[in-house]
Amino acid sequence: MLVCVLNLQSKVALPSSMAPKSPVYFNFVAKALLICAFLVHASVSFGAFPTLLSTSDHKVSEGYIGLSWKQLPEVTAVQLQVGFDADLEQVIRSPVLTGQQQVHLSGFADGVYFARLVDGSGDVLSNTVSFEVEHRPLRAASLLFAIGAALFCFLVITLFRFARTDS
Amino acid sequence: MFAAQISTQTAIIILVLFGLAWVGFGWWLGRRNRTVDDFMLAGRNVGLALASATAMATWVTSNTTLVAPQLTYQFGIWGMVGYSMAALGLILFAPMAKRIKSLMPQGYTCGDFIRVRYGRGAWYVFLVVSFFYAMGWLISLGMAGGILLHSLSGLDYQIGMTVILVICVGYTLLGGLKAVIATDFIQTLIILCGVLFIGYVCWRDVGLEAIYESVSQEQPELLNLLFPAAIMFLFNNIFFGIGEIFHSNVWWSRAFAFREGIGKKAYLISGLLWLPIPIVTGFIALAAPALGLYPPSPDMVGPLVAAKLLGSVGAVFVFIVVFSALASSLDSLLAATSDLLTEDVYRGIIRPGASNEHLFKVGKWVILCLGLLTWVLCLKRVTTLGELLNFAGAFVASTIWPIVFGLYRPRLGGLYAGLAMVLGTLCGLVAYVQIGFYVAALTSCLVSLVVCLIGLAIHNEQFNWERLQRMEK
Repeated sequence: MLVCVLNLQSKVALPSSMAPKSPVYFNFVAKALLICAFLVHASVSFGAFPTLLSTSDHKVSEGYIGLSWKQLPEVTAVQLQVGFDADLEQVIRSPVLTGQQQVHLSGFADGVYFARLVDGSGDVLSNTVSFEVEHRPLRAASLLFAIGAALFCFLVITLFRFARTDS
Repeated sequence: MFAAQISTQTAIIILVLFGLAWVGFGWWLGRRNRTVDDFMLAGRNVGLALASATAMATWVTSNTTLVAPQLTYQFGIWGMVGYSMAALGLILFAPMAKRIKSLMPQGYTCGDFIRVRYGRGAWYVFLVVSFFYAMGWLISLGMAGGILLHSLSGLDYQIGMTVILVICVGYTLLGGLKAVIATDFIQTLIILCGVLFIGYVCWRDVGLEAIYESVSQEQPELLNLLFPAAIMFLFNNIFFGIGEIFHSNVWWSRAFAFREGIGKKAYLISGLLWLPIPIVTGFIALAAPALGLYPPSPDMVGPLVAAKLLGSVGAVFVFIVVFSALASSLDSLLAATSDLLTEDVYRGIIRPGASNEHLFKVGKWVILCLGLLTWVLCLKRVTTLGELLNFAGAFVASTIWPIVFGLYRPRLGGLYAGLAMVLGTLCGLVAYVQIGFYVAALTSCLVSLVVCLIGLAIHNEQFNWERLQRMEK
């Protein structure tokens, strides 16, 4: 990016107040360098984790979710921390996973959850991801259950009557 | 690699030994097959013990050994109970098997019934539904073979899937339905003893209390009897199981192959024997967190828990049990789908005048081609087993009512039977996409019933049952 800015500077005609060696010119270059340094630093910080953790979905209604990451060459076992806050101060699940690059977790109640990978000594290995669990309304589920039960009873009674007539 | 796995070398040795044994046995049983009846229907003379064993072993499949633990891991108690209710399909099919044999003593396939009973329009729809389901099941079995080998031995998924397909195609090709039924009998014994032993070890080594505590702490929703998705799943799974059995040629071909008066008893016994198996295989999935196991994919939870419980030597045992379960279904499905394609598509559409000797040869080619097609479709593992199977639920559940009314009521006509299958399937697929896989079969069955009831109310066809006896073309 820095090269880009410098090249741009050399090709674009600058106003006279920004001619080379003028104080304004130095000011401009200094600001550009500062911005570049910030951007480079920010990108390094973003990609500072050894691996990238990702979720199969951001919102689920069945209480189960898949999490995946790239294999870490020198780490055999990782710990997946799952909790209710982004800083994961209160961890509710912390399975230790050996030789895996993905995991399927189930049985979550409603709520927003955060997850990240750490190593044996607690050093963070991945970014923190979040996912929301919102189960389907119980009323709708009960309605489907009732329809299913009625349909099943109807089928059994029908077959029973037919079989009796047949015999 | 996970703990308590067997080495790749051991897995290959077991596969080679079992492969040779099954293929050799298939060849030995099939050496006296002379007619298409021998090859497709084992001479129509199967007794009660073999009949019950083959029905049970065929229904114990990747569904039971891999998907039942998966659904328990995802849906908890209801997943386990709901899965075991698939036994109702076998139990409810029992009186129908008797009716089928008496209506069509010379029948070959379920397609024969639909063609004569409802005419060609409904028959084409039925063939599409049936073939789609058969391919879905075949793919799920092929995938399950690959997953099993990968999770227990670390062997590449594609290699494992290929080996299992080659073995099953090999002995089905050589022995026909006789080989399928005889191997099923041995496989049933292995499956029953194996599943019960693994369940016992889980109860002894982990204990109910530890399982309950770990699940209630880590996966609380699995113990919730008001878990919404699980409640929705329960009856869906029941209708899916019923649809699978009522429409599939796997079960119809057995009804034709069993000796007179055997079908009803055999299906009742097999249903009752099958009922507890998903409870046991599902139960061991609940032990996963207590054992510190968190599967990469939900369909791997069953074999992983069993291998962890039994250790490296026990993993060999698990491998043999699950392999037997897969083989017993894969061979049955290959044979039954081949019958359907040979009898309905080849003789029914492509070459109506084909002789029985010619069909005997065609049947073998069809098995080979089906195996090849399944292999190609399994190469890329596109979805989980549970999702793949439940996608097929929308198709099969639409056939329940046309078959029930078609077998017992002369009034329902072909137009409404065909419409019931088409509209039921479409609505089931919409529900699958819009709501979830756990409502597809229920929706499909409901819509199909409504169409059939309308058909019965406004149409007054009087079907002559003797047309089925004569097997009219």
